[in-house]
Amino acid sequence: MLEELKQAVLAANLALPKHELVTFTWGNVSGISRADSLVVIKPSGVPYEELTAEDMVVVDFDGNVIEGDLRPSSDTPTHLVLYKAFPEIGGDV
Amino acid sequence: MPIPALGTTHADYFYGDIPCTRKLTQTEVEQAYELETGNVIVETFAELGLDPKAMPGILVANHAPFCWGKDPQDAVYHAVVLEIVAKMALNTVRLNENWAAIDQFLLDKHYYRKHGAHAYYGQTNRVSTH
Repeated sequence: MLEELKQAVLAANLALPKHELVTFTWGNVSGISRADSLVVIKPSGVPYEELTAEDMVVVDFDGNVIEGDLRPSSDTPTHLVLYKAFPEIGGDV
Repeated sequence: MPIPALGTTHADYFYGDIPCTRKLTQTEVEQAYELETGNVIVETFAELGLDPKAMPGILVANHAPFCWGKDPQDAVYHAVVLEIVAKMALNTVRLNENWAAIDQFLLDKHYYRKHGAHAYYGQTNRVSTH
């Protein structure tokens, strides 16, 4: 499900430590599929060097986990508010 | 505090001062912290009449920047730019007590040569996001 978006969200998350924007597991990036009304976000508390595309968590607009074995980022409710309020955005960090 | 628009790097991506939200209340923090963090961002944009496309990020008071874009990579790009312009603004203010905001006509020039119907920066025949 949403494999392309998962790859994009993984790549964007891996760019955070690369650009020295984050330390440890801090920070997170998400992306949205407007067509599906689903958001893909980094799991909570997993070290960046261990992240895989399968680890990305798919949630709906209410924050329910639709796919993924890990808990989504603790900032997920913040991202969902922004996706709902700002319909023109496709990614959030 | 907001990050004042002082130079053209800032103007290339953020059309004006990058705002800072109010502090969250104790009730907001204790009852629905992450949700209220989103709400205070939306509240600040509404109060200031800002367009999320022209202002792709914000500082949440006592917390962190949040940035966004047309896709996840674009959001990270804006996060990198925000850090850079924040450092430049900090250094400018420290070095020059008479610092002043960028002129509106220069802000307009830089923002609108990269964004909108009349943008001319970069190439039109190659795939480039920035």
